[in-house]
Formats: sequence, structure tokens, C-alpha cells
Amino acid sequence: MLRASGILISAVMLTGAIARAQPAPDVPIAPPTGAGQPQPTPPPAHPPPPPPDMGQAGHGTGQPAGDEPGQRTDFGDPYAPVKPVTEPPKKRLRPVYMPELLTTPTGFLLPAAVLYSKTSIDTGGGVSSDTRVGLGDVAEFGIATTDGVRQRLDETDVRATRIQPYVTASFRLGIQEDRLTRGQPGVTLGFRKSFERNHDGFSTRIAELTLVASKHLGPNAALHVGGAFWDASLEGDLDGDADTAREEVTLHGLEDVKSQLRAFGGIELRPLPKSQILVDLGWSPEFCYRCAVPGDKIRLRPTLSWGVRYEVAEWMRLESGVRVPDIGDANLLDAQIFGQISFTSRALQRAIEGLK
Amino acid sequence: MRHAPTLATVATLAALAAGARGAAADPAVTRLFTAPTAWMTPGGALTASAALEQSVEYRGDGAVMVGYGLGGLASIELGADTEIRTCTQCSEPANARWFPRAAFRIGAREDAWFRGMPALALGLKNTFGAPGFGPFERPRVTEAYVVASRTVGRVRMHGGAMAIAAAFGDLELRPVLRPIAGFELRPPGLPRSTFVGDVAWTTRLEFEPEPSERRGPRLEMMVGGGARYQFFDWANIELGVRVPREEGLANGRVMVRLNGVWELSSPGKRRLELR
Repeated sequence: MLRASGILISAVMLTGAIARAQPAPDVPIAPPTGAGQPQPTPPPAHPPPPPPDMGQAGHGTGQPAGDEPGQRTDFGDPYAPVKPVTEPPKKRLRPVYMPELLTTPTGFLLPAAVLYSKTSIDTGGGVSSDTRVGLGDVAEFGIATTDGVRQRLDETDVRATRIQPYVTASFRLGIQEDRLTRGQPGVTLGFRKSFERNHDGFSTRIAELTLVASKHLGPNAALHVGGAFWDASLEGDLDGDADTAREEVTLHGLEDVKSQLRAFGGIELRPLPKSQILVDLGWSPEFCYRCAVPGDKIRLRPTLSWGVRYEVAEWMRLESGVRVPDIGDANLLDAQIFGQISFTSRALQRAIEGLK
Repeated sequence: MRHAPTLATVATLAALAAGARGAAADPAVTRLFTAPTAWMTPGGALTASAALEQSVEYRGDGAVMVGYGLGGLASIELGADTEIRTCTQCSEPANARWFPRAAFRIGAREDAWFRGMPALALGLKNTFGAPGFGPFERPRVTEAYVVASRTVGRVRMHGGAMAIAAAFGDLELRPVLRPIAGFELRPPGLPRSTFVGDVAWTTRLEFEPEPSERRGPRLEMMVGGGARYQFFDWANIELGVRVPREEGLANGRVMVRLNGVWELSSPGKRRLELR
């Protein structure tokens, strides 16, 4: 019993001596001054959170409290509750509505900094691609290759073939749906222009100015209606006489505005959550190099398309359907079955938001 | 009047869209022996079929098609078959030629709009990239169809119309409308077996030497009958005879075809049954 008491007293005395040797919590530990001095304790792997109101400790001088001689450093209350770190609420991103139905533009613009890419093939041997980027929620710029422009040699050539690739650049600007007033449709004014295309000794160009309005009719339907003002040029040996000079014919040169104006539109329906049915009617230029009638050298032909868009993922869509390049002649033989895949990316948009 | 086909197509598509919601699952076989059905391929499912045909005259006819279901609303198929025949001595059986084929169909399932409604499909099947041979330059065939299918007890009935257009060289057949029909019957006590019969139309490309007038594309009625046996939930085999009207029963073709369906979007999650 006596021995146990001795051990207890020794333990208490030893613990008290160790405790007394420790500095007070608010007294800084002096740095080592030379050899033989005890080495400082390495900093912990995870430093404690800064005490509250550290900025006020130096009284606005930028110096921490205690740097002045004779003044004690204030580390604050180490037991004060730490403020929880809360991230600012994420900005809700606008949904991406497609800038194109199947072949015609819509009144929807890509959101700012959203990238869009579409690649299409069809059973007529057509290959096309379209790459766009949204600019500031009010505009859109894109480069595309289209397989919609067709050619014939003369009146006896009943089968028009496609000129491809036909490279175009496009710029569209507009106003989002419901932006100005409630119920206002999305409206875009677009301009598409091709680079000059040299083919079989003929040079062709096309240009299209479009104004289109798109309106959601409930959550599962949208209607698109627009008008296009077309122009095109054809240059080459148009009379088949090698001795004569090359001449140029333009659509505006026909001086018939009605031949340049066309209405187009389409509808999209969403009967299933990830699937849409799309139908649209658009127009494509057709060049007839040696047609005798000037009005037949450049004509606009109606194209009817219908198909399905299936959203495989938020960033990827598969589209397939049927396109009849010249529905005006009810030519079933020229009907093409197409498949296309489109991607949208918000990576650039997120990067820009991160910089903000 | 000129735009009547356009309006009809748009109206049909709108009607299909209106009724596609809440549809029940359909069988995945999209054709009988020759005639198409209105059954839709499930969304995200891959289908494949391979057929071999043999007649007294010819061997090695057949078809290979691969399809994909798009969102439960539509499907697309790619492949090749010998449905289109050619002849230069057309009193004899026509030659089989392999043509690349593509098909797209969109439809609404049974009972989609109202109770008792048949399944409906609007489809188009055409040739693409077919090389010319002999007098048959740039051969092209397109078939557009509307078909309705309905299950009544043990019988599934199919009926519709098909517009067929064909051309080669300068010879062309403008779209011609023809009826199509068929049935599937499951006999009692044989849950994995089905009797199948159909009537449809196929294309013959004829080019006899002058002074014959048998030049140009023609349509030919094809009658088929046989049985289907489902050996796995996802696969079946069909055995039947197809008889072209021009060539008679003696030149009927015996056909064996394997069909399969696989769910790609969520493997194992949903078990597909091919019937």
C-alpha cells in the first residue's frame, strides 16, 4: 500500500514538473538560437484553420499583432467555431436547343461558349459536317460542308447529282425565347455563304439570308417557321461554245425577287422523354449548266425530311430519317436514308465560368 | 394536289408522334418472309438477321441485315439482300443479285392511341451504292410502305400498302402502289412455334434483247409460308418457302433465316424477347 502511494506521488510530481515546463498557450516559442538548442517541432501536415478576424489583429497596418516590440502576438481564440466553407451556388445552365432541325435552321441559338458538331452520311453517298460555337447567348458562328447543292448538265439530264463537299460559313444572331416578353418566340437572323466551288469547269457560289422564329408549344413540341432570301451564281462556258467567253449568271440577276424568296419550316415532337420526331421542309439550289432558259440555270428545289432524334446522352444525339431532295417531283427514287450524330460540349463554357 | 404526298407524310408522322407515348413492348421482328410488319425494334436494341435461300435453279441467295432501335420510335437497318432480281431471258427464272439495302421506319405501337389500335409503321427501304452490271446501269429500287399489325388471340395480322419505284439506265418505273398482307399464328400447346404466311411484291429488272418489249423494271408478287421457332428468348429461326408468281411453285425458294436481338443501352437490365 505504501509502495503504491509512493508511485502515485512520484507520477503526480513528474507530471506537474512537465506541465510547468510548457509555455503558456499565448506565448510564442522562441526560435532556436544555436547548436545544442532543441529543434522546433515540424509544422503539422494540416495546419489548423485560421482564427476568426485575423485581419483585424494588425489594426489595419498589414502587420500581424505582436510584431511591434513589447507587444504580444494575438492568435485569436483557438476554440472559436470554424466558419463552414460554403461554395457559391452554381449558375443554372441554359438548356441546349439544337440550331438545326434536320436540314433547316431553327430560331434557337447555342448558349454562350457551347460547342456543337454534327456529322451526317446518307445512302446517296452524301457526307456533310457542321461545327458551331455559341457567342454570348446572342450569336453563333459555324463552318460546315453541305451536300445539298446539286447540279445537272442540261435539260436532258434528268438525274441531278450533288456537288460536294460544298464549304459554307455561317453567322447567326438572335434573341432567345421569352427573353423580351413572355411568350416571345426565339428569333434568329442568319447568313450563310459558301466559298467558291470549282467543278467540271464551272464556278458556283451560294448565299442564304434566313429569318426564322421558333416557339415551344408545351414541353414536348416546338414549331419553326422562317423565310429565306437566296442568291447564287454560276460562271463558266454556259452555252457549250468553246469560242465564246465565260459568262456568269446569278439568281439576283434574273430580277425576279420571288425566285429568291422561299418559306421553310418544321416541327419537332417529343413523344418519349429521350426521343423526338422531326419533320422539316427546306430548299436547296440546283445548277443546270447548259439549260437554255436562264431561269432554269439556277433553281431552288424543295427538300422534305423526316426522322427521329434519340438522345443517347446529354452531349450526344443520334438522328436518322429520310430525306427527299426534290419533293416537288415526287421522286421516290432519290429518297435518301441518312444517319447523323451530333455532339454538344460545355467544356469551354465551364472553363469560362471558372475564370469568372 | 402536287403536295398531297408531303401533307400525307407530315400528317402520318404527327399522328405517330401523338400516339407513341405509353406504348407497350412489341415483338422485335420487323418483317415476315417478305412483307414488313409494324412491330418496332426496342430503343437501344441491336437486331441482326441472316438468311440463306436455295431453289432448284440457284443457290446462295439470301440477306444480311443489321438494325438499331432509335428511342423506341424508329429503327434503321443496313445490309444487303437478293430481293431484286434481274433477267435478260425473262421467260426463265431471274438471276439473283446482291444489292446493298438501307431501311428506316418510324411507328406507333399497339394500343398507343386507343384501346384496340393496331401497331402502325411508316417505312422506307432503298438500294444504295449498287454497282451497275451489263445493261443494268445504276440500278435503284425504293420501297415506301405503311403497314398495320394487330394481335387477335393467337393470330397476329398484318396489312398495308407499299409504293415501289425502280429504275436502271434510262428505264424507270414510277411509284406503283401494291397491297401487302401477312399473318403469324401461334398454335396451342406450342408456345415457341409460329406459323407465318405473307404476300408482298418484289422488283424484277428486265432487259431482253430487241425486239422484245420486256425492258424495264417490273413488280412481281411473292407468296411466302413457313414456320418460326424461338430457341432462345432473344433469337429465333425461320424456315419457309417463297414462291415468285412469275416463276411458279416449281421455282419456289427454300429459305432459312436466323434473327436475333440484343439490348445495348442497358445490358442485362431488360430482357428482350424476340417473337
